[in-house]
Amino acid sequence: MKSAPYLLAAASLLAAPPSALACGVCGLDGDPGFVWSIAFLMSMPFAVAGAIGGVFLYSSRRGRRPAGTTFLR
Amino acid sequence: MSPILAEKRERKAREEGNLPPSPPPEEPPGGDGGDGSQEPHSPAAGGFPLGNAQLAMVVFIAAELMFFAGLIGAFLVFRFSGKPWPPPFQPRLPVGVTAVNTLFLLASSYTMARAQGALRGGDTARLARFLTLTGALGTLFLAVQGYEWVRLLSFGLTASSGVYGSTFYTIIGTHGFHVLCGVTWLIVVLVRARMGRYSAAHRTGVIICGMYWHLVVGLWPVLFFLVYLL
Repeated sequence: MKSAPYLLAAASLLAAPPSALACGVCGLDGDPGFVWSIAFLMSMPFAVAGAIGGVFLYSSRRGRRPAGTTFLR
Repeated sequence: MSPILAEKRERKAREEGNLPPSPPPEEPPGGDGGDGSQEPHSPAAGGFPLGNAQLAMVVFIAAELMFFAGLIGAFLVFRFSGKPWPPPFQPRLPVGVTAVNTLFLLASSYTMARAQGALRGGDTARLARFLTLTGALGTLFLAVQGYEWVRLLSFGLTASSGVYGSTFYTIIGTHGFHVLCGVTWLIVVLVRARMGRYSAAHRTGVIICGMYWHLVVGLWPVLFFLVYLL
């Protein structure tokens, strides 16, 4: 069965103790300062890349519409 | 045969009338693909939506955002470390004055947008006026920040007085330095605008200056909330 490895991986995650699911650096009882900082820094590349993609999308759509019209019309 | 030699022979043949005249060089891609600029390397209709300079500024802005993310990350480690914040016996930050200062900076973003709109319409006089306003508001922001810093230093909050002082001066000082660079750039753009270097068809310089200024202004409310209010 092709999906067997994925099912096994999912079952291992569900059966794992909570401490095994903790962040490798901060852990479940980690310093909240580190937890917040790491979560923020990990999310930043996605936020920046998403914002840049949004800029490209907006510029592309603005360039394609006829002159004199707004973005929403 | 080397390409240079072949080109020379072809040119000589055209001069002697043995070859038809060479076709005119192709027009560089242009058209209103994005900002309406007719400058070289401006966005082509149906092509990539940003010109070269704008793309470079987008990459630079992404780098600056990650730089400030690092500073904010370091601040968060100390802020949420569980210790009392602000630490005892440290001066309190001037939230009220800085809130008013924030409004000045946000207003400068509006005047910058108006300046870009004026240039899009070809009104260079209004462009210069709004650029002057933007620079003046940015300078006012820096002056008020500087004044508050002097007061904080006199009250004993220095960069070496602890984590509170060092994180404050590092983050706010870095932003202030960026504002100073932005004001300097605005002055250069203003001088060039008064010299007539910009028009509705040539506005890339103003556009990328505006992008940097909006970055600097957009960062400030985040830093104000984190450092002053949180």
